[in-house]
Amino acid sequence: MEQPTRSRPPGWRRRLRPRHALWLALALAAVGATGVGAQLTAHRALPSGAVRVARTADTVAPGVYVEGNQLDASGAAAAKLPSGGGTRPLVAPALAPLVGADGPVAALSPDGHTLAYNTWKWLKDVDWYQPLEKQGIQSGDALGTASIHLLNLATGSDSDLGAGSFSFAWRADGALAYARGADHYQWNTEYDREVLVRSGGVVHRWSTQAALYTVLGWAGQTLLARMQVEDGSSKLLAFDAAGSVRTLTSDELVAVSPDGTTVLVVDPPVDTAAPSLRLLRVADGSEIAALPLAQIVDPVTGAPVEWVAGPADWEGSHAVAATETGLVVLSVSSGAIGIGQVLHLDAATQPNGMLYEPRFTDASQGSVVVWEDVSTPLGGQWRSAQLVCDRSTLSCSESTPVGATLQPRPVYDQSGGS
Amino acid sequence: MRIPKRGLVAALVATAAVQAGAASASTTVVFRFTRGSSNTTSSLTMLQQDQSTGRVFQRGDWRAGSGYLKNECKIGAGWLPAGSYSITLHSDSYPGTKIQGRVWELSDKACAGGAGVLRTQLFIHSEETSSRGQSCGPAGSDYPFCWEGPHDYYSSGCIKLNHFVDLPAVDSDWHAWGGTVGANRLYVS
Repeated sequence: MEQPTRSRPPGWRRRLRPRHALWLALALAAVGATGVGAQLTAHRALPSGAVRVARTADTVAPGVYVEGNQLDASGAAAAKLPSGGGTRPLVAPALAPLVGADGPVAALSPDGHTLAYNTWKWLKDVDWYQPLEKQGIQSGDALGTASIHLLNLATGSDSDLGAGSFSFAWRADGALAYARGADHYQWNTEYDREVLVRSGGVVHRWSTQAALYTVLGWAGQTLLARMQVEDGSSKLLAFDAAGSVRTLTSDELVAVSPDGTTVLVVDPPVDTAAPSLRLLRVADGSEIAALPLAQIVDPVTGAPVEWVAGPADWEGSHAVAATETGLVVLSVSSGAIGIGQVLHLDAATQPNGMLYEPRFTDASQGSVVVWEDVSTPLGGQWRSAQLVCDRSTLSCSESTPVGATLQPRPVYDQSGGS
Repeated sequence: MRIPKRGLVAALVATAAVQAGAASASTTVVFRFTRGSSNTTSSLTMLQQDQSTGRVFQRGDWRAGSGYLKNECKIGAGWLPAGSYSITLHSDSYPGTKIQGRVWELSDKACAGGAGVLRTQLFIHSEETSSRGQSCGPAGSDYPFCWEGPHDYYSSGCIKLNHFVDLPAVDSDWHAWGGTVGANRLYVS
């Protein structure tokens, strides 16, 4: 069994095979050059506290990102795209209104050769603050089309998986799981879809009936998907093979362990007055460890956090996740969930100020990159900004806000194991 | 539990009583949901008003909750996105798997004014059975068809109302005032 790499910047997969990804190997080498000091940082207790945020216009976040219709690896240390350069245009903007920030908008294949990315095309121009009927739109009208694109980074060729495809996860052997519904999303019509796995050029249907699935990630050979139900809540499903599905939990997925054998999940507060983080064994759903959220205390307010949300980044024995007041770094071992650091960011406490997709930026796990929606007046255009936060100095540099759909989104995959 | 009315609201209610007789077939019943300082302390207002002029004939205000985090773009967790909604269905005995009883189903909404995710599966509801009763178990757990207390104002995004006092009042008034499904029946701010 291939051993997972310990940690890497956004865009690197846990199951990365360096022999198949020269350009990424170069980047890993660059990261490794600072590895000694990095490991020291990782094992040092870091203080919890309030994080200072300073706007820095020229911040270049470490890692690989997509922003609008561009892949950007210019912040990935020595990494360059196989054909040279640090950026690559995409044939359509990376966008996933059916997924949002609950999963990656783009992810690299295990061999580093192919970028899968979600796209979305609105079929009508809609003012979502106003009644749609007054804009000539009725229930059942087609409003948009999702489509997963595959960009071959070596040749530059771009293909798609068909209309209605969105949300994906790469398995260690290069198989790609994704959801696919009807060609178009229709307003006020349940948009059911199937779970498909594309392997060796052949597409297999893994779901037994259409439902509101979103593909989340692989845990070894088991595919994890969310199934939304009527009130917006969801179940976390485990597909062990085509046609073989079970409910793993009704909790929300936070992260998959690097070795793919366990998952970190959290009770949504809507289901319990005493929510907990729980470590579950993927094979049978059994609970290995739990951490009541009441024990995660915000260092500024002195109050326990009420929620922790995925997707988190789990590298080695540490995971970083968003909370309603900032970030929490957890230490996760085979039998326990511990609290490593609790960071308070004022911006996270503002309405719509949630922090999304936190990712460790390097092997040290000493810094985290995350993005946020900047508080927006009602009816105004939404803007987002990227934060690069140093866990030692409790400080973040914030990029100049951009339109919400142009926000750099990290390239990553929620999968673990092989 | 009705939200304590401020002076302006009280004045409107007094006016409503005077104007009640003026309501006619040209009236419509609409909701206004005002997101508060927390997910569990928002307010739902229901108005019977003239379709043409907006003149208000009847008004009620209730405490309501929505979501469990204050980001309208978080699927299954964030409070209801701002903007106008249609009501696509009303039932007094909805038989869903997670939602039952008296419900108003809302139209889909893209958050962030269209820049973010599509929020779907949205309702106004409480925690009750399809026959508008309660199905509770031993204390210490949260049962989906049992209103245990203020914690139940949390939701996955839907608007939630207290089962015992507020939902019956909203439903009763909605019928009495001539509520119908249709476009532009809820505005969230």
